[in-house]
Amino acid sequence: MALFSDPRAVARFKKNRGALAGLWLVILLLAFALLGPLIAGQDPNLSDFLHGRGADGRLAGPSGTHWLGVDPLFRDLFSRLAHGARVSLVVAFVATALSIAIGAVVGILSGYSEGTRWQALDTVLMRSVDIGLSFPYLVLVMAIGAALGDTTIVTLLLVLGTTSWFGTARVVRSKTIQIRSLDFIQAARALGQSTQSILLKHVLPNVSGPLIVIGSASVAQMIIAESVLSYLQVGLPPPQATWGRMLQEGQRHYSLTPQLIWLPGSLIFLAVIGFNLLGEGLRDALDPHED
Amino acid sequence: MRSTRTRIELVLPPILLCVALGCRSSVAGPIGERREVPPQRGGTLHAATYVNVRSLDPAVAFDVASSALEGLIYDQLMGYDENGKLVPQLAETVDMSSDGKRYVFTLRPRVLFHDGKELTASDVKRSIERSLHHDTPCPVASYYERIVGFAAYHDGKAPELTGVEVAGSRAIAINLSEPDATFLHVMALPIVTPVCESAGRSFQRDFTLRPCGTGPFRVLEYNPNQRIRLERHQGYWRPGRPYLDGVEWQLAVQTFVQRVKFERGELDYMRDFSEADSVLYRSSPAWQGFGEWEQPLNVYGIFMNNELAPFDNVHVRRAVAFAIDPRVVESVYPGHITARHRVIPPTLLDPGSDAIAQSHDLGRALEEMKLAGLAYDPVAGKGGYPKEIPYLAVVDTFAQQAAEIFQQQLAKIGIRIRIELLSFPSYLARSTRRKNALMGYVGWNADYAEPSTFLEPSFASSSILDEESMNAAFFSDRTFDELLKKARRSTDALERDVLYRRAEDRVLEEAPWAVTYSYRYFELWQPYMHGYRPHPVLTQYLRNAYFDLEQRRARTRGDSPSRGALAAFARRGRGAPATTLALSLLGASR
Repeated sequence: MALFSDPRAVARFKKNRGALAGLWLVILLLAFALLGPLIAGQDPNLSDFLHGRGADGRLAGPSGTHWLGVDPLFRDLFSRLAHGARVSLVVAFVATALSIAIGAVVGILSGYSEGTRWQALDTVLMRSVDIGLSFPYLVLVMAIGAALGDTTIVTLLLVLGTTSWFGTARVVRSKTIQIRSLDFIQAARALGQSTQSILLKHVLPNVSGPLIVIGSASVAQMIIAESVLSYLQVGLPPPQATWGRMLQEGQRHYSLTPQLIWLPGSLIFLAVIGFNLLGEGLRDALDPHED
Repeated sequence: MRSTRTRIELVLPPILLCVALGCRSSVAGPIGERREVPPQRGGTLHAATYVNVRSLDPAVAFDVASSALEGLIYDQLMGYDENGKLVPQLAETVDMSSDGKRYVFTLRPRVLFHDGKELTASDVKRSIERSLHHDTPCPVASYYERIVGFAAYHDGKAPELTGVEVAGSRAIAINLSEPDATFLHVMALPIVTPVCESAGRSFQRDFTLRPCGTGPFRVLEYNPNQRIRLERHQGYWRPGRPYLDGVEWQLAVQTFVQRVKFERGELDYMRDFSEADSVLYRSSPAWQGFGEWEQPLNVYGIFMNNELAPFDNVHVRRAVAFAIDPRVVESVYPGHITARHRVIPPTLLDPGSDAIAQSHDLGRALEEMKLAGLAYDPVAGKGGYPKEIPYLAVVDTFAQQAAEIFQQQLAKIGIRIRIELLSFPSYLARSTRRKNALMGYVGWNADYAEPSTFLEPSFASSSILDEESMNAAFFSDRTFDELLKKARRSTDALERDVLYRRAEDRVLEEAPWAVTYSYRYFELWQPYMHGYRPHPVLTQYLRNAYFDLEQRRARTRGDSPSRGALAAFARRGRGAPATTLALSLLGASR
């Protein structure tokens, strides 16, 4: 990893308060997603009609049984938030990985073939990227999500992952063009290394810095995208707990039980802020001249 | 930090929504004051619904959302008075022969269509024939099957409906093959409303875009995804009516947005309340006396497609009916939901003390699963129906919430359902198409105050169609059909009730539906709106409404002392980007 192999980058990261705050937010979020469902001890999809409603007829607030109260269908709020965190993070990480992988491959191939006898490949790939970028991202995702109808976690992350790599490809392409003309690549060519070897051993490691930064920001973007899809009811079907769906379900109760909105809303907020601060901290640490 | 700011803008709205609305457990007060004023003309009534209106063609539109608007656009030969009593509407008089098989309707003079032409008996015949035409997918054509010549005409084997005779320019006679106790009721349905010649001889898909009838309002604009605007029919046959200049019906407006619009005076009338808002308005002292409950002449349930496995097996259907416990659903939407165990509301038909009912019994449900060859061990969680069953529900409605509870209950007998959320029009299209949907939410609102309306469209074999089938369970049972026919034929009210009860028992035993609950709306209107109260039979019967125009002006002046916290909050927040953002998200920002 470029960050850890460079002590100066680590030092710059440690000095950046925003980056550290982002790191801590991400660590806490991961811990919540990992441990929350275990310590909650409640089925997130099971209604508790016995303890769900208080004597005043309102949804039960925090208690020993339900630490944060219950949702409109009397399901444990803490447990649903924790399970929602898992969904958000799994979708965000896997979709980001997919997006970064596709973007990196397309970007490197395109950049390396630019101005060579493989120019046609660069043209085709970049025009594809142009077409992809011409669609509003969320509209595209929603259209595919609606067309699929039966949305599962696999289809969701495939949709998100395969529709969000266009920007990455552009960045990687320009970085590849820049690297391609450097002396060590010329030397590798002169020594007879294969193109495949050059791409994997020399180009890829040198574009990993931008990829890490894009990846961090992309995780935040995926969290929002998943939440939006769930909020609009074209994400994972009920009763799957997701933060976006919880926001949607909570809005019918906002006037009496506001925590149904601000709890999932705050988690989305903190998660997005965390990953963005982390991403920007990594960018500053890896490329101090870019700011 | 540019990207971070962008993200903040994206995720702030939920937080601001809470700040703007959520942290407040009160509602804005009424606009203006309630005074006793005589009816006066003027003003456009603004109302909204959370669904889309699928069609305004009376021959095919038969859902609740369409019915409210049809009540404003069309008049029928028969109608209902304020107390729900059946009375002639476009007909001046109705004469029935002594054997109950011939009815002669004499039309009122000088009734004009929206296009200016005068209504004649030929128009009535043409309109009835249009709705019952072979090429018209009328969902309840079977209501009219006792009209002489119905079968031949409806099957496309005869050029005209011989039982409907033009007996003069203003006299129309309808001959029945046998007496029918429901006949005058079904003549009050929009299905047989007189429509303009432009409607054509049979169903035309584009007629819904330019509906034309004889009702108090004509359609000015029909935008299926946004709004429907009506204006007063200047040639309406009732002098001085309607009082309102027009009606604007906003479509697909979420409940919380409707509340904001209502508080800001952008809606004059409202009934789509969220669970929390319903509690708040009903308990608000400021709103006491301005709202009323609608009579719940409806029933909801879960349909199971009898033509498709596993619901072609009566034991599986019974297992579902026993597994469902609708009582717990009451607590999700208190006041609005009442658990039901029979199809016909007790106000229409007393079930008697020895009535059978679908009631929750987990042991019997498991027993039925065993009889179906799908034994399920709830302890080990093994057995049951091996496949996941798609369950249709309308997105963002109570049906969705109920589905999530039923999902838990059905899991206890080894039936796993996957909830498919659809818009209301998509749901209607899917659930009424033959061999398409396996199971899902279903409901029926009374067309008239008589038990057969709860039995015939939903369960009779004659109601089965390949498309637009009101019999969503595709339930076909000879015993039930015979009982229903006998009941409709009977002129003895007591005998009819006994037969209806037996027919209903048959439905409960065969379980094409698992009966779940009835739903009642709480309707609220601003103090300046008069002439309206929930009708005993018809949905949102707003045609007689009028405004106290002076009090209503308070709305536009915005000087009412009781505009409430939200309006005050919005006024305070002007200029603050965060507030504007939150309110514009709600569609409420001006």
